[in-house]
Amino acid sequence: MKRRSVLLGGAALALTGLTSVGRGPAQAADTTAGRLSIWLGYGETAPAFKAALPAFKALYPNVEVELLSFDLHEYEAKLSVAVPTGNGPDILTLHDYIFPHYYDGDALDDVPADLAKVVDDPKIIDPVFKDVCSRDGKPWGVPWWKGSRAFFYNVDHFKEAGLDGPPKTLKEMWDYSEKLTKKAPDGTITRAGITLRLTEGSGGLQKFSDHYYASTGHQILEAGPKPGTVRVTLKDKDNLEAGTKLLLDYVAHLHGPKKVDDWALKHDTQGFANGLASMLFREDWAVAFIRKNGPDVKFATAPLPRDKAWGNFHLVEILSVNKTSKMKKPAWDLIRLLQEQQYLDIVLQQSGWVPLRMDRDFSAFLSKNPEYKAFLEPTPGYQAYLEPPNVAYVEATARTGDVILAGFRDASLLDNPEGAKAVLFKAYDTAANILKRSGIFAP
Amino acid sequence: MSDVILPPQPSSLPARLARGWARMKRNHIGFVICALGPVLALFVVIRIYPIAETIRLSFYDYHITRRSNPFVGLGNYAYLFEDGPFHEALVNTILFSMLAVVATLLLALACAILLRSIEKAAPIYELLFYIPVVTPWVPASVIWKWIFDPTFGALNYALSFFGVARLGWLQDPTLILFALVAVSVWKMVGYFVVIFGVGLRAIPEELLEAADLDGATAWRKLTRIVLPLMRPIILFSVVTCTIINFNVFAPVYVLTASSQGAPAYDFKVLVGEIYSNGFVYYHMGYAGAQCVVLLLFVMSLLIVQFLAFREKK
Amino acid sequence: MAGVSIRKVVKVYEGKFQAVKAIDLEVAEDEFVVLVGPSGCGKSTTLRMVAGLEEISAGEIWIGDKLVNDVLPRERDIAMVFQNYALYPHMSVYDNMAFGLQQRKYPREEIQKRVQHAAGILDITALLDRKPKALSGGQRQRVAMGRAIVRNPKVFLFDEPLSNLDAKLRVQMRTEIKKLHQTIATTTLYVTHDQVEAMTLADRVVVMNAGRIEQVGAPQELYHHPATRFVAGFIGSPAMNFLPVDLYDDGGLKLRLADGIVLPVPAARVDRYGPYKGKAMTLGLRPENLTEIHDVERPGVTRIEAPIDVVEPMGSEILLHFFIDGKPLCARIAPDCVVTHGERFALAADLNQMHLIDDESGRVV
Repeated sequence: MKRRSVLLGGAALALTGLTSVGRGPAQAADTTAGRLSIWLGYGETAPAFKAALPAFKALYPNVEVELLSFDLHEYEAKLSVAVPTGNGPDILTLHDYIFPHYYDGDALDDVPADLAKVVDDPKIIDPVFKDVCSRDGKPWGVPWWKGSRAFFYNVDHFKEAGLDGPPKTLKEMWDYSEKLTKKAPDGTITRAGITLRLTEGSGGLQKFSDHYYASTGHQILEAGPKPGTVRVTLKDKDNLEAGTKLLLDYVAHLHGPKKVDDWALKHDTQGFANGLASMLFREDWAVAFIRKNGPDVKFATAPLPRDKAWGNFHLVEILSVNKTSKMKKPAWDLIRLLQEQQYLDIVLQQSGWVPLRMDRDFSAFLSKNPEYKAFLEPTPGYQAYLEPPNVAYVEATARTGDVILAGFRDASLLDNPEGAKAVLFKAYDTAANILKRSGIFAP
Repeated sequence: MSDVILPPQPSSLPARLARGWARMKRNHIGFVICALGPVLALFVVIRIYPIAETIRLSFYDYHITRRSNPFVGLGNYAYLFEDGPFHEALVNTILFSMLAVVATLLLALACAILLRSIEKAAPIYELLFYIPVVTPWVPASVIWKWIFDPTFGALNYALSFFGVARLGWLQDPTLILFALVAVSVWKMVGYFVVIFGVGLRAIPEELLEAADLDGATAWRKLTRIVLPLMRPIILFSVVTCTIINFNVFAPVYVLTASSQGAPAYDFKVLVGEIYSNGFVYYHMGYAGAQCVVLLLFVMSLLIVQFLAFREKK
Repeated sequence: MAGVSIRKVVKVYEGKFQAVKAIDLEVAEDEFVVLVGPSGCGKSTTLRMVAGLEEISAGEIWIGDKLVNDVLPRERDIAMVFQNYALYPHMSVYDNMAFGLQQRKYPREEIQKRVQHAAGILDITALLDRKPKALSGGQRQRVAMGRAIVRNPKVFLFDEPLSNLDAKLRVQMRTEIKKLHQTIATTTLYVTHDQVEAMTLADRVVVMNAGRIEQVGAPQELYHHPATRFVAGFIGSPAMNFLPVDLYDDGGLKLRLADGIVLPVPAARVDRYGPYKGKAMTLGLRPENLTEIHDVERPGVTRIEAPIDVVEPMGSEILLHFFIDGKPLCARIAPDCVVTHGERFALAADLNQMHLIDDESGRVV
């Protein structure tokens, strides 16, 4: 969805500017004039900025704030052509996997000392998230919010099938999905037991990776020994065995008698919201989506099922300032503002993404919105991991994902371990070639 | 030259301007340069320069966000041979083009011939057929995405009356090819109906009457008189249709976009690959190399078609 | 070879306009019949109905002993030569001529034999490899005829084939067509608006006007004994002279012209014209019957004088144009006469050759 909201500095801000003139010298307003532009790939976080504007205006009455939201892919493409030519926005909201591009492109301004201290403090920001935006121990941005995945399940469907709780293991997940699937007399599936990610390379690889991590304790693409490098874990002995079994499980549940999902069904969050799927694993925003588009659906969230390991994929949004910006000071001040409880609350409420600052309290929100339990409540033993940030992230995940997704479609892999292994070898080669081409492959 | 003594000419500014203008008008070339200059300059900036720059960049490892972009000679072109998705896209695009061109032109020819027999009402039908041609690609593709939707789409609904089970038009790797061809045919057929209509009308009625008397059946008249006389128009149509379909992007992008509830098979086409490599993976140089390949491919197709349809001396 | 029989054929367009109004015509086997008339008289339409290119609204058309109303053009075994030649521009002359035979699945040797034979007759053998656009008008017309000849059809149809040629070529081609008919005698139906072509080519001429047949007959018959005013004025060049006259009896049947000139009716015609005394009539006299005065006076020849308006020396004769009572007249006099414009000239009107037309019916009495 494309949403474009241009905030006109204009009348409203001028008004607050005028009223601020009457303020005493106790809060001396900065007279810097100009335009501060912010581009968002996650438009649902815009309300936080808008809420912080009055306070910002008090500090900088003559600065006009321009807030533009884009579809995520469009945003990344626009950013990639604008920033290197010196035309980008002042505040960069960077996803952890595109962060390396801008760090490597020398596009980021130094983080002011006070904010750097906050980022470095393990009691405020979890080191896992700090590492993703730091180089040589120095942070180059302020981690803002995280998204993670949770397991969504339809409470009514579960009751109907006599299942008393969400599946805790991978095996249970497959068994439950078989029980929950509904078929028409001619065999076509009318309700998917679980809606799997079957299309779109990057997403496909990620979701497959969720179960791969549970099976092996590793991600398919992991950070290599040297910073910025990546290694592919598919061929490591235990991983290969577990990965093959996982792929066979997928194929078994997509073809043949144990089929639980079909390409022609309505999929993903939309499918779940229409009641056409009983189980789903997706990120935070799905909660709001399902509430809005499937008000009749009674659902709950739970941590992802475990197997040999138990962990959850995380994505992080980082706030940085453009090195070529002429509004550096106002930009960092706005970023400081956003760290406050009230604005982080808005991020959580409006978008469902979870702010990273551990020194803030979100319990009030959780009590009113129990569906966010799996996202907000820390669970002992539940490992958080991130994708290794690297410059070839999008290409590597998309192409490798294509190979895995093609494997899903291949009915000849049914009970065919050799065939499944071949698919994983091909996936390995694809990923390795792309990483080598970018010079970041670690064997 | 004869000794003609001219009266002294006034040297005020308006007079000088007027003289200059008159001289320029006489000096034809100068006028042409002034008139066409701005347009040509625009053309160079918008068309020639970007194309030349793309070709130049194809010899570099040009990454959008990196500072250094080393020269790699034919490195990008060498990678084309290893790039599996590129081969897939090439095969897909060729298949798609062939099917779309044949389907579009056959259908257009059949319609044009049928419309000849209702000459009076023909313009109305030509107008109706032309409406898809002027509809923008993206909104049209979005509508087709809904028509093809497996659960709520009009096509599966209509087929269900004939007992046909739910088909994943955009999900099945084979069906999506035909779905895309259908969209392309729907979009372009009107244009060629009009063009073929013009070609058919240009054939004198007398020739067909003479053929009638010579004993030619309707089929023979078509194959031995009408089509040979329409050769230049058919050539033009094949060339145009091929180029348009080879460059297909918008409908593929929209129809295969895996939005939330409507996942689709990722049908790769050449321009789609160029877009992905350039704007999603940021390998601009490599995307440039793919552009050059596309250019060469289309040009060779054109040459082949011209040779095939050339007048045999 | 077969004859063509047109019985009460009508052609109506859009339910309103009658282009052909119930005509009857019998064309004998191997006969050369010319349909002639002004534009829009229905001659081409009739021809096209015989060819099958136009639907017959009513009536019957027979070719030989077969009723062909519902028979497709390609099954009628006829060949047509079009005004614009209708040669296939993308085929060579040889292919143009061979096309009809190829459609009927003749063996290649047979086709070659026939094409070579026809090309020989028409003297176009050297042109067989050329395309129509490399030929002159006359050559193209011959190829069109060749295409018709190779088919050996039952009937030849010609639709104003010489209209697109220049005058000299037209005369030449006329002769060739005549010679062709003598060589390959086939039933021929020929349409033209040029009465000279009709007169020179036809065994019989059919004069048509406004969708009806005015008269059918041998050329000489039509020339000397036209049945209607239309035929009288259409056939012959320069056209017949017409003058409105009063027929009265004043001690003998006399014709009075408007400006007082009185012409006596020849004795041989008195009985014939007698019943029409007092009716409004028109006198018709061909220009060759208005000559200079000879020495010998013959019965039926009367003297007329009039001021000369235009003198046209033709070489073999002189055409004089003058007015009587405001009506234009034409006379043919010997080439050695001395005439000047404006001078009153004395002419001899040979009333033995006169035609008297009843204005009411338009018929020659």
